[in-house]
Amino acid sequence: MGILTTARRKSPWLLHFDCGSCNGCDIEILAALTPLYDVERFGIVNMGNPKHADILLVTGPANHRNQRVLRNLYEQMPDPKLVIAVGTCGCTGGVFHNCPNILGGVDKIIPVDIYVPGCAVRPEAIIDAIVLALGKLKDYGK
Amino acid sequence: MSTAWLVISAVIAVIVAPFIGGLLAGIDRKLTARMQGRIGPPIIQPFYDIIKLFGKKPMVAGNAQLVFAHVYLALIITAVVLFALQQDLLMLLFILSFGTLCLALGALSVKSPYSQFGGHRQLLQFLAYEPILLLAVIPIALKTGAFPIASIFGHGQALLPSLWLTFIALLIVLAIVMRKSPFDIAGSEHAHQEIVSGVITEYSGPYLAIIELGHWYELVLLLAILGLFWVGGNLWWLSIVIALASWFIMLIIDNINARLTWSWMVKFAWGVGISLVALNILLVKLGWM
Amino acid sequence: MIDALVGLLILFPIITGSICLAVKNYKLRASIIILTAAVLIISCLLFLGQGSFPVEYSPAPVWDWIILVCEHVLTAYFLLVAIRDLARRGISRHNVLTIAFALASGIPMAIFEFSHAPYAPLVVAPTLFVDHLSVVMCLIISIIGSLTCIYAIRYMKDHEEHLMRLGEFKVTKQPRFFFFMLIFLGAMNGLVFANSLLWLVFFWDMTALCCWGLIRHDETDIAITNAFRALWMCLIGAVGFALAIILFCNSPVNSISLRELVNSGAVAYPALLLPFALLCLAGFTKAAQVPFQSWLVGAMVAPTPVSALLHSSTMVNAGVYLLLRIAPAFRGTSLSTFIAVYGAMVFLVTSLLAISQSESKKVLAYSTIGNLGLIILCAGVNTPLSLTAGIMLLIFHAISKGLLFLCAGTIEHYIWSRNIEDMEGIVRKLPILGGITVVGVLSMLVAPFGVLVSKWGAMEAASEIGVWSTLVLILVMIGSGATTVFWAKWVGRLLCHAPVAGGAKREPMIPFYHGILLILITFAVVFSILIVPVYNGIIAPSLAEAGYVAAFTTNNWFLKSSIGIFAAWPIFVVIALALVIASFAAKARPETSRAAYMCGENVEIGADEFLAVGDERTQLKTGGFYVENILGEKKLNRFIEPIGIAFLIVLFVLVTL
Repeated sequence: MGILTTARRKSPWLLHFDCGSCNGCDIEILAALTPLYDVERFGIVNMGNPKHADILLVTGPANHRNQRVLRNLYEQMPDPKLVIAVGTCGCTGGVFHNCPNILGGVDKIIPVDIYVPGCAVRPEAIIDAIVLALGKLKDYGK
Repeated sequence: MSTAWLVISAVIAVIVAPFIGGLLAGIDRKLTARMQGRIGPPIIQPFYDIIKLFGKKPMVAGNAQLVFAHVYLALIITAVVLFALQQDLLMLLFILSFGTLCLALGALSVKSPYSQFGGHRQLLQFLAYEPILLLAVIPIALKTGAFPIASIFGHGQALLPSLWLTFIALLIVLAIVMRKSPFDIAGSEHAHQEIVSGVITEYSGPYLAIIELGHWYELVLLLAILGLFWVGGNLWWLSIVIALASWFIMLIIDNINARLTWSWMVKFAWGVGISLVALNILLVKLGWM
Repeated sequence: MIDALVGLLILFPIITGSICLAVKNYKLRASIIILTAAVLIISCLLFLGQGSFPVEYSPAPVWDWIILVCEHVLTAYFLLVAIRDLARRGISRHNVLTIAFALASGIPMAIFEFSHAPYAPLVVAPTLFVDHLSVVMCLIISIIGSLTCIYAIRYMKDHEEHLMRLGEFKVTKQPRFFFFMLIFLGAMNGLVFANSLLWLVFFWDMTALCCWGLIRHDETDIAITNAFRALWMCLIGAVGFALAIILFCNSPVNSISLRELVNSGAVAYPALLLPFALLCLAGFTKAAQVPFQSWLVGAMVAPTPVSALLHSSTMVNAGVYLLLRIAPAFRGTSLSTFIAVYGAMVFLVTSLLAISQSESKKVLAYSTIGNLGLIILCAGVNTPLSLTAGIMLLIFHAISKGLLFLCAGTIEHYIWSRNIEDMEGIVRKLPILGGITVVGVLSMLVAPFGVLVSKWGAMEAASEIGVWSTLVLILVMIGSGATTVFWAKWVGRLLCHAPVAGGAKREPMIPFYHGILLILITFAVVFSILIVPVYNGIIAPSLAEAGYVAAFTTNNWFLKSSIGIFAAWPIFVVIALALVIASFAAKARPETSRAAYMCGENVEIGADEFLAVGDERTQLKTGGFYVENILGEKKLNRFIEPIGIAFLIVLFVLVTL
């Protein structure tokens, strides 16, 4: 593990995007960022800016309207980047997957690295997902 | 000090300053976390951040950004070198101001809403603190007889007892440059999403790392300028203590304040800051200080 | 040879200008102008090169007659045009004031000349006195002035074609335009060479004539009004001169030789203080200081070469030249300190006003007045360091400001607008022009260029004048911060463009436009790098000739004064290195982000459009901030005019007590 990989694992900056979620998972993500769980001790900072972010946390299912926005944000993030689909809606569309306006899970629009099922997802699971995602950075560039 | 020693100290300053700056940034986050009842990141977290940023794929929103980021870092390093070589303090501040200007110009060169108003707010911040910073050089020069930093070292006694008004004014400058609340108007170190990173919004990857490095150099330089106020006094290490104490006070002020408006910042800085330095200059000229 | 060179520098442009008045052919006129430019440039370089200064020269006595007669003809002409304007357009405060001040300056002069020398003009020996300060001005006039005239050849052609397209064109006024431009160059050279106050006044009034003639060129209502406004304000200076000459001749010194008067000094002869203050007033009006700034701001309606030549690099410099020339006379008096405070006040006030302006030429006008205020501050502080800084600022400001006006004019001829907001992203549309403008603005603003080095010198010098340093420095430092804001804002607007991949296509270069601009920007950069040879070559000798000790020693090409040191060329090396490294980084072809961050709402095809409510494609509009409600002209002029008048009243009270 070179110093670059260590640095990448120790300093994940987040971009959180609500793709169509009921806000249940968003509240859990924000809870994870509060002093109670204190994710900053892992170096996680919630930057609101795709150009600064490494990990894109997406909640909610993808629909016709927000697919463009999601793709825009994903393309504005520089490599190496990871996508985590938080919540069952983000993974597959959840209870909404047959609705006419829903395209399905987030992976219909952008490549997803980690799927976190749950409705709503517990903060511990979110943190676990980020740690798991960082493990994938070892393979970046190979 | 002989020229050889000065040059060696300049080289050491350029190499060591970012490490000190990064450590200070890390301790800043740790202490802020503790004040907020959290544990906080490890002290060397900023180094992880900056190495990660260097490893990102380069992406620019225009070549001007690239140029200005490089010129910014080059000028800040030059200012540090000038400090180590004990050169003219006023010239040093002009170089520093050109560097800061490059940051604003880099932001203004991208047609992006957050970048634009971040850049304009950076100019307003500059308008607020630059007069104080430039004016603060004058009482120092009046006391020591000349503008170069070498004359402060040659003065033989500490400046703080007679120039404490200027020192307080410089604390305001430190707060504004460090982008601590209530002055984090152009863009903060932390993720304040209302302005989405302000002036550094469109920078990413290695160029963001360059700017971060520049910020560290700038922090160390300003703390060093504050430390100059005790050069020549008893217990030489007190100047480092004074510099670090000022920095710590900024942390506390940051954590108990919210961001205020730019017009308040300009009025406060000019009203309080300039009055303090002006009073100091007047008293020095009249011989009462 | 000296007399030939002096004759060429003064008379040649006047003759060729008069010829231009009759030449209708564009190409012939262009050749005459280029010939004049070449003659002026070569003459002034030869003059500098001949090395033996100061030069004292008195032309044949017939010239004293000619000057005397022409001076009165000129005053009569001012009366005539003012009366004619009154008849045509009705009474306005400008033509009435012109008549009033023309009479107020002409009649006392006539009475004085008749009573002092009834049968022959009052002769002074030497009539012309050229030291290094005059040579500095001569170089600026001859080189930058000539380049501006060459630029104007193409500019005026395009200007009239544009008017033709708008249907406002009747008959070509270019012959008259170039008449005024060329005789102006001759008059300015005469002004800076003159030692006799009578000759000085004549050339001073002749520049006022050219100013009037050029401002009113387009002959719109506002142009004519502003021309008369400029005329009466300059005539206040003429009144000042008339009174000063009378007072000088009634004083113990009894002379109108500038050199003799300055060498006598107001400290040894207190009676000289009031006339010197009147000369300062003349300088203030010429340099458009507060409360006279409205004439310079109003003069921006004139075509851009006029603004570049008269209102930034040359004519307004005549005012500060006079102040620098007579500064040794009031060294050590309270008048000197007061002038320093006054200059600082003007610098601050105009720098704040410039923030609120969105028309590029008005920004440049206010900046010019501010920098002239700084030079006046240097004259007032009156130490070797400050005078050196003042002359340095004179040179570098003339180059950079002339360049910026010409850039603004060229941009205007591409986009047909003078508004800074319309210049957004011009480095993408017109890369060469935009690049020159950006570097030009930076040369006015940042270390290590010459303008900043002079500001540094002025600030360090201003700290040495006793208790009043406090006030002077507060005004200057705040003003300095303000200048950064409006310059950086302008550069930001020039650079601002949406992220687009690929380099910009270079626009085809027009020799008369881009050639002149490239020459001027080269001067700005090269002379800033070579600031030490410039100092040693022409600035240090002018201080020595005025009786001041040298301000700087120049080992290692650093400028080292007794209280500070500025190393300019190493900073240039650092910046050059940074640019080289940046260019390597650019060659590595970083990916160009296809969009700025707009919360993900970017339209994928357009780089600066986003989808707003109802998926409507909306253009992103960005703009500068101008805070007109705080710093606008309407808001600030209410305070500024009374403050300026108050300062002048205090000045005269101070000298009469």
